[in-house]
Amino acid sequence: MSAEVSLLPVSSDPPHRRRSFGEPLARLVFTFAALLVLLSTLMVLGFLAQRGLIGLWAIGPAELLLGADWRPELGRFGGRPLLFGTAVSAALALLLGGAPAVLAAIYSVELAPAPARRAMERLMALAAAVPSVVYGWLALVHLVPAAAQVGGVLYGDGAPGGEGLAVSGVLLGLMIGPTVFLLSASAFAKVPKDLREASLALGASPLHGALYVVFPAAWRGVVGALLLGFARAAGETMAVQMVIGGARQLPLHLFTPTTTIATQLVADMQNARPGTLASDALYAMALVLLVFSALLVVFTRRLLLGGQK
Amino acid sequence: MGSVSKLRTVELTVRYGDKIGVADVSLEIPERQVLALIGPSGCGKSTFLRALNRMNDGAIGVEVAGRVELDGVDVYGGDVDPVLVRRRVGMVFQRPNPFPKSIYENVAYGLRIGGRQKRSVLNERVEHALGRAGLWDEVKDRLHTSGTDLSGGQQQRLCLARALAVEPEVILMDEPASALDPIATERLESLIKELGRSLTVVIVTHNLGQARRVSERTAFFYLGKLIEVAATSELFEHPQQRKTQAYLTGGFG
Repeated sequence: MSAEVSLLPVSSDPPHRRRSFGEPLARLVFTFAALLVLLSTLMVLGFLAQRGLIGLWAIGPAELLLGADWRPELGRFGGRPLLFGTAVSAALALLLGGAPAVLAAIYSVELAPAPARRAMERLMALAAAVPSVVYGWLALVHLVPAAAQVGGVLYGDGAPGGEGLAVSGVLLGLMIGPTVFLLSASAFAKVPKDLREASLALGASPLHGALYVVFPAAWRGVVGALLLGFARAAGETMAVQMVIGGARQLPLHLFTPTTTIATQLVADMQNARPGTLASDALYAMALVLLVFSALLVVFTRRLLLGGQK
Repeated sequence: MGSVSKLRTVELTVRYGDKIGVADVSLEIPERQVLALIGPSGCGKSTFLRALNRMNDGAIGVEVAGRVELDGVDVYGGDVDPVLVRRRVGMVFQRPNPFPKSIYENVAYGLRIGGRQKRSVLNERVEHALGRAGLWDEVKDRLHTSGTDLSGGQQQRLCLARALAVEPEVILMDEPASALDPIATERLESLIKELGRSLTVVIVTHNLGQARRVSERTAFFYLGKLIEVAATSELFEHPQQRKTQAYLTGGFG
C-alpha cells in the first residue's frame, strides 16, 4: 500500500468529486439572487423614503400626523382620520380576533385531544391562506348588512350603511385570527413537556398548568404573535377598502364610514400625478405606515430575543 | 418490615396500543420505607411507577387494567379524581424540571393550587419544604432568583422541595439522580434515606449501588413482569430467581 495520501483530486476519484463548472456557476446564481433581493428592497425603501421625506417636509409632520382634514385636491393633508382609522381598526382586530385566537391556541395545545388539535391547526393554516379579497367580499355581503342593523338599533338613522370601524375590526379580527392562533400555538408547543408533567404531578389540573406554567413560559411568543397580527391588520388594504366606507373623516362612532392609511392610499393614487404635493403626501403617509410597522417588528424582535441570554 | 401497605398493586397491567409495558404485577409497598425498582431499560419499571399516580392518564393509547390501591382505595376507581391522587402521591422526574419561575414560586406552586394562601403560611411552608430537601441554607438569600439558574443537583432538590411542599404521603422518583454528578447524587441519596423515615418512597434506578444504599426493599422487573421482590440486602445477597442473579452479576441490561 502506498503511504501517499493527497487531498488533491486524482483521476480515480468519481467524476462528481472533481472540480467542474457546476459549482462556480451555482455560486454565481445564488449570489446574484441574493443581490437581487437586497437591491430591490433597497430600491423600494429608497423611493419611498425620498418622496416620502419630501412630502413630510412640505406638509410638516404636525399637520401630517395630527391635522383633521384630508383633502389632497384642496391641498389639505391632515392625516389624523387615517391614522385613527388604522389604529382603531387594528386594535379592534386584536381584541376581537387576536385575543380569542390565543385562548383557542391554549385550548388546542393544552386541553384538546390530539386529533382535534391537528384538525384545528390544519383548518387555521388553510384560513391563513385565503386571499384577503375573499374575506373582504364575504364581509361586504354578510357583515355590512348585519352591522347596518346593529348600528340602526344603536344610533337610529346615524348609521345608514353599516360600513365603518365595527365591520373593519371584525373582518380584520377574522383575518389575523388564524395567524395569531398558529404562532401562539407553536409558542405553547415549544414549552417542554417536563414542565407540564411537573405541574400535573403536583396535583394541578391541565388547565391550571396551562395558565400558570405554560402561558408564562410562552408569553414572549404570544406577544410576538399579537404584534405581528396587529401589524398585518394595520397594513391590510383590499379587504378593509371594501367595508370601511371610504369617508375622509373622523368617525362619529364605530358604525360611520371612515378611512385608514392603507385604504386612503388606494383611493387617492389615481388622482395623484407624480411630482405633485398630493403624490408626495401619499408617499409620506406610506412612509408613516412603514415606519410604524417596522417599529413593531423591531420591538417584537427585541422582546423575543430578550429572553435568550 | 411487616408494616402496613401504603400502596398495593393488584394484577396491574399497562398496555400501549398492542404493546404490554407492565404485565400482571401485584406488589405491596409498605408505609414509611424506600422501595427501589430495578431492572434493565424498557423492563417496565418507569411505566409501573407512572401508573401509581395516574401520570399516564392523558396519554393516547395507554390502557391500565388491574388495581392500584392507596390506603385500600383503588385510585383507578370510577369516582376517583386523578388530580387528588397526585396531590397525595407526588413525583420527582429523571431530569430536573424546575418551572421558569423564582425558587420561591417553584415551591409555592403546589400550595397555591388550592386557592389563595396567607403570605405568612406560605412563607413558612416554603421554608419547611426547602429545609426538608436540604436546600434552604443554600438558597435562603436568593429565594426570588430563578430556579433554573441553580446547579443541576440544586435544581433536583428544588424539584423535591416542590413535591414535598404539598405534603404528599408517597413520593415517586424516576431515576432522580441519573442527570447528576457523584457529589450531587450522594446528597440526594442521603435525603431519600431521610425521607423514607417519614413517608413512603418508590424510586426507579439504573444504579444498583444506589438501590442498595437507599432502599429497604428492592423489586426486580424484567420484560414488564415483577420477577422478585425482597428486603434489599436479601435480594442482593441471596436472589432467588435465576434472572435476578444474572442481572445483578451483570449478565444483561
